[in-house]
Amino acid sequence: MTLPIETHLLQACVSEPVKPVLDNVVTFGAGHFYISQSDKGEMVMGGDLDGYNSYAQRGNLPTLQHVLTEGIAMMPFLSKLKMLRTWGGIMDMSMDGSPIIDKTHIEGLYLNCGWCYGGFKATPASGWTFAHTIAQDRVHDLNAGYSLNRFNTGHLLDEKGLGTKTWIS
Amino acid sequence: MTQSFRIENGGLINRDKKISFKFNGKNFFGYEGDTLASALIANGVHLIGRSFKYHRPRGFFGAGVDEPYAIVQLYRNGETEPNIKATEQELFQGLEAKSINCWPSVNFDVGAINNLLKMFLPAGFYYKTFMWPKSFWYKIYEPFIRKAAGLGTASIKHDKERYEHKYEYCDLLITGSGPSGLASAYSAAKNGAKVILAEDKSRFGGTLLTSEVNIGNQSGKDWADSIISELKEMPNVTVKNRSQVFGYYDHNMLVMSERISDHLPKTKKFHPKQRLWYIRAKEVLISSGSIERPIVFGNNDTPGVMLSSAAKEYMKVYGVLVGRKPLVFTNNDSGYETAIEFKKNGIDPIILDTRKEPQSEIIEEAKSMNIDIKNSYVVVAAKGYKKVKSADIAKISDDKEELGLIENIDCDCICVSGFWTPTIHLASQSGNKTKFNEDIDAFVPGISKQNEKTLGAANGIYTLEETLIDSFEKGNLLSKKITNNDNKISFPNVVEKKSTVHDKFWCVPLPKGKNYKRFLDFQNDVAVSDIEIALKEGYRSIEHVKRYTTLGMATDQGKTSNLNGLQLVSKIENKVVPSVGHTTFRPPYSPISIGAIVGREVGKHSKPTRKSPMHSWHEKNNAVFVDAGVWLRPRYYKRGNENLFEASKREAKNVRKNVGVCDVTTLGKIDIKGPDAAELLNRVYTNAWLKLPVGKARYGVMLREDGIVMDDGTTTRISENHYHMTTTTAQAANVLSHLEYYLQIVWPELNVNVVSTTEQWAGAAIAGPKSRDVLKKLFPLVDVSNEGLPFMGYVESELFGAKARIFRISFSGELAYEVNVESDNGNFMWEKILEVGEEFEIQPYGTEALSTLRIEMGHVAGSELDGRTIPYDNSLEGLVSKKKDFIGKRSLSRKAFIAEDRQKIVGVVPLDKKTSIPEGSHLVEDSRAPMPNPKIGYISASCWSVEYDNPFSLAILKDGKNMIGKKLYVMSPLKNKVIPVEVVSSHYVDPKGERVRS
Amino acid sequence: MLHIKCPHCGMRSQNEFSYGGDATVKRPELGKEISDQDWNNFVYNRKSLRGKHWELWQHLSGCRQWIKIQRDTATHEIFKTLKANEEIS
Ligand SMILES: Cc1cc2nc3c(=O)[nH]c(=O)nc-3n(C[C@H](O)[C@H](O)[C@H](O)COP(=O)(O)OP(=O)(O)OC[C@H]3O[C@@H](n4cnc5c(N)ncnc54)[C@H](O)[C@@H]3O)c2cc1C
Ligand SMILES: [Zn+2]
Repeated sequence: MTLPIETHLLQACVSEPVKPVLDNVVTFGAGHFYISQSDKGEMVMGGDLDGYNSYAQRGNLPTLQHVLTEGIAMMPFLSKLKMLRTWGGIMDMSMDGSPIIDKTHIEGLYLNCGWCYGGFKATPASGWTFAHTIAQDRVHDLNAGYSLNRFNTGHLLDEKGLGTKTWIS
Repeated sequence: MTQSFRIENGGLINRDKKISFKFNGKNFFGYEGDTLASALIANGVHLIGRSFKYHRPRGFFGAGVDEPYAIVQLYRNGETEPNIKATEQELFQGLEAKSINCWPSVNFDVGAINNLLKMFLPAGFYYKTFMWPKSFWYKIYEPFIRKAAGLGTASIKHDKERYEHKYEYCDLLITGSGPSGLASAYSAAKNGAKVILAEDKSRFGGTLLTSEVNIGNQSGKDWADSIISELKEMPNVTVKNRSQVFGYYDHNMLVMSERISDHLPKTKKFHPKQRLWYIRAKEVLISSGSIERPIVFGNNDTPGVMLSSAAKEYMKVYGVLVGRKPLVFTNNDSGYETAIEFKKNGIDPIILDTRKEPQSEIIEEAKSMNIDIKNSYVVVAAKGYKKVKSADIAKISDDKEELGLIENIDCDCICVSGFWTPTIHLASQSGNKTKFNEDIDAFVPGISKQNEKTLGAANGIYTLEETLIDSFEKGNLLSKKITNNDNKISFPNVVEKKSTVHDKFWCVPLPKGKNYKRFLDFQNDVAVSDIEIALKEGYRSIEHVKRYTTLGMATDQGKTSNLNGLQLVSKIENKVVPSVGHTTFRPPYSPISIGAIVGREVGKHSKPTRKSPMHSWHEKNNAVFVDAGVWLRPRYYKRGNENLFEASKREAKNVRKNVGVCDVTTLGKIDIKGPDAAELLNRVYTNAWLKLPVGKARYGVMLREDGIVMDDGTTTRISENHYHMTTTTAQAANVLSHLEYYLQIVWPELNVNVVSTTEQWAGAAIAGPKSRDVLKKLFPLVDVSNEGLPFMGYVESELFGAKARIFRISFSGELAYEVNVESDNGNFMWEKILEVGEEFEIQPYGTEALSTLRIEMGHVAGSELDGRTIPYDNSLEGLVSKKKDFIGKRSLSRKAFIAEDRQKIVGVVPLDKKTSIPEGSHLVEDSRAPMPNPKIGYISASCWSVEYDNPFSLAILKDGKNMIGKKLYVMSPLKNKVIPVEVVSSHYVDPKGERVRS
Repeated sequence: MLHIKCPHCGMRSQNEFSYGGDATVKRPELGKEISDQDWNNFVYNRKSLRGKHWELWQHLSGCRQWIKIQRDTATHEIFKTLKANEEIS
């Protein structure tokens, strides 16, 4: 079974902890940047992929530079904070930017993958519908759109995702 | 206040230059060359802050980058910075600093109640203590945790400082200027290699500044000075102090942050605060030394407990005593050096050595100086709250399990040495799999992964002679490979004291009946008991233990705590340290200013700004600009008190009634030449291109391979083998890459060249029923009649002497032309158009009017071609050839793409003809249906129709072709709007397209 | 930041390049019958190898040539680079 998924690299970073200044998650769509402050006071920030297939779990600084540039564009005071820690993770990028939650043609094998950079936020909903899919052995209405077959039929999801863009060139 | 802890003489400070500074509102003096920490200690200030979790009093633990405690809020030149390590901050005139985590004051701290409540704050308290009952989380727990959170306070002002970036290439990058760094730099430099030697601290020399050694018949410090001054004179060498190499990235790219102004009262004019160096090195020598590690014992966080090497550094570099009644607690010979230094300054230290009968040169020396040495002794617990007052000490059994009788002895500081941990961060970051070295009880680099070699203490080599031999040799060998020179350096004579083995002892057992807190991580308040809990609760992986307890995750990133944490886990788990493994080292080595990482690309410079050649004209004529990608385009030209709505309506109306002119320079332009150019276009666009005559333009749509529309635009056949393609502003760069990809990779047999000419041509669209009149005046020699220059026609001519291209194409839906001249003539063209157009009431129009005109005509643009639609959706199926193949065609036959009820573009008008429709709103059949109310379409673009004087929108609607005349609802939960609408044709104005052909 | 050897320009930093994905994918010939499955494989399915990976990059801010690079996706090590018209071996 082949999946329309490529493995990419995404970095995130935290600043040194500071006293509370931000009590919400803020995302900057056009700039590909998100930020929130942890209970410990660290600003948690991230954004774009490093941009090439990778399993290395180690990113490079220019990507973070780019991400933080967008951050400073939105919140100029971030410039004065210090970056404490960075890390890079493996990213299952689906080709349309949306996840796949589905049964497969193999009995007892179910798919929940291709979450790209947005798998945490969707955990409760995806977990719930996935559990339903497994328990009933049929997809739930809410995840019917997230079928693997959508790539064959063209029922792509109504989201402005561009996936890995590899074939756009 | 007097500097009561300052030694009479000595140190590397400049005693001729007194510097005044403020700490917690009080005035103090120090000397040039002090750090904030050394100046405070000189003034007898030992209490500097409170710990993060329990608010326990905190003093100084180290003398540099490894400092976990002494973190302050710094005030400099009208700004403030949080979390500055006092041990790293150099003193400058007028420096002000304050304690953090203490309210109302460092001496009386309300948060210290946490210390009494510590049973509520065990390991993992973030994850569990406050989870139950759930309803308490938002109201009680979270506010409580958040109040305790953070160290310093972030300034929310804009950063006025400047940060620069520099890109460098070198043969050898050497990180650290201790003996190994100096020796390797020297021999490499002598071979003519291009060398960069970086030193984090302000002073070069590393341990040579504090150790009693001789190299080449001079003191270690003098030898270091002479090497540095020689290196500084060499043209092939760059020597940088205050410069930390903080990251080792792919392909030998290292990044260094140079602190240019942080040690000055304010940044000099035209100077940056910091400079980030991206360095691509052929070879990297890691000479970053080692950091002393503490021994863990009860209340080991009490102010006055510090690293023995730090105590020595304060004496030797800063001429400062950290106490007058020192206890030196050691498991190796390093403690003796500190004790001897105390003794030399007239202070009587007591040494507690965990070893039974150690023998070495330096121990002999200490004995001969009559220093009190207690063997097989340990500190059980420090006593005193805000400062060490005494210590409970005891003999320890040979197996290190049993404590003897507890004795209490007076002391005012406890200098601890638990041996040395190599600073392997950069090596590990390079991808090097580090290995555990039993002899030194620490990890050292393994086999090189990139071009890195590790030298000296960072490599676990702790004798000077061996370090120097190895470093001279490595510097020579690696540079020889690059420069082919082989200048042998005569090896200097080295005098150092031989030391003996250390004791593998790192944690003092608790005496019976006591449960002292024994801290591992001093900033995050992680104690032995926390790790024990984590393990009891089933955490096994060291990465999980770390996150659960937050061990090593503070701003010092565990420089003094990680190894002891590992020792503890391995002991409880009954494993050897290497099988527990250690957590990954990731950049940065120590926290790096985000401003420095970002550099100059801030504010207006965060993106390049592109302007058309007519930009200054627009500016002078009250244009209000809008960002179109990186371009600035006039959105409208403001007259009097007009707002956007009024101005754009005026401009659009004038196009429909008279004539308008719009700057269209930003459109992407690609020059296509070659015998196979037509064939390329035929494969790239969905419609047929082989028969387009010279002098004609054609509209085309190109797809991605997945059948989604990628871009649209007109392409004109300039001559037999020469075409001029236009793209949308946004996709210009992508389309060029797209064409290059197919030409180079997929169809290399096509003989075609493509090149971007976006910058070469300035463009003006002249649109409106009177546009032909304007054109006649501009080009009196050209036949611009409907026959002479029909719709989609093209001619070349001269505009008052300037070479011009004239295209009869229209985006506004009116009779229209586009004139291109070479960019340098853009402004000339623009002014001429307005000049000759005056009698026809010409007005410039901006992007807002342009949008209005195209929307009510039903012409698609970026908001419809948004990466989700196919030609059919945009009513462009007529342009899809059935006969030929083209990029993406095969995807169009997929089931969803040919479905009967496939989405299609429609027009939408509010029933009341008044309410404007927010873009992005959803279309539903029943506004009162329960959630989730099925969405059948969305609004892609909205305008105020100037033709009909009511709102009009374009929408992509399911089964759009059968929906004309239907009544639906537009819903925008975001704007809290529900608007009843009617579906109409997307071609709201002039549906037959007669105007463009008139 | 990767250091990439452009076969036309020499060693250059990654920020001059843009990535183009798996280089072993062959576009089906124009006008030729192809099964749905084969077409979908071409459009969407990639091997996403861990290890040596032939991939396309374009020297965007340089010679604008598309080039082929063999790179280890686990370590980022680059072994070979080829011009667009050179066959992957
Ligand atoms: C740096 C970074 C920042 C992110 N930020 C956000 C964010 O802010 N918001 C957000 O919503 N999402 C974010 N994400 C994305 C989110 O982490 C993922 O989408 C999510 O974790 C995916 O969940 P998953 O269960 O599919 O896979 P994972 O969380 O990756 O879990 C897969 C698990 O399977 C295990 N496994 C793998 N192979 C095998 C095998 N053969 N047998 C047994 N076990 C196996 C793995 O060890 C792992 O535990 C971020 C990701 C990264 C890397
Ligand atoms: Zn090139």
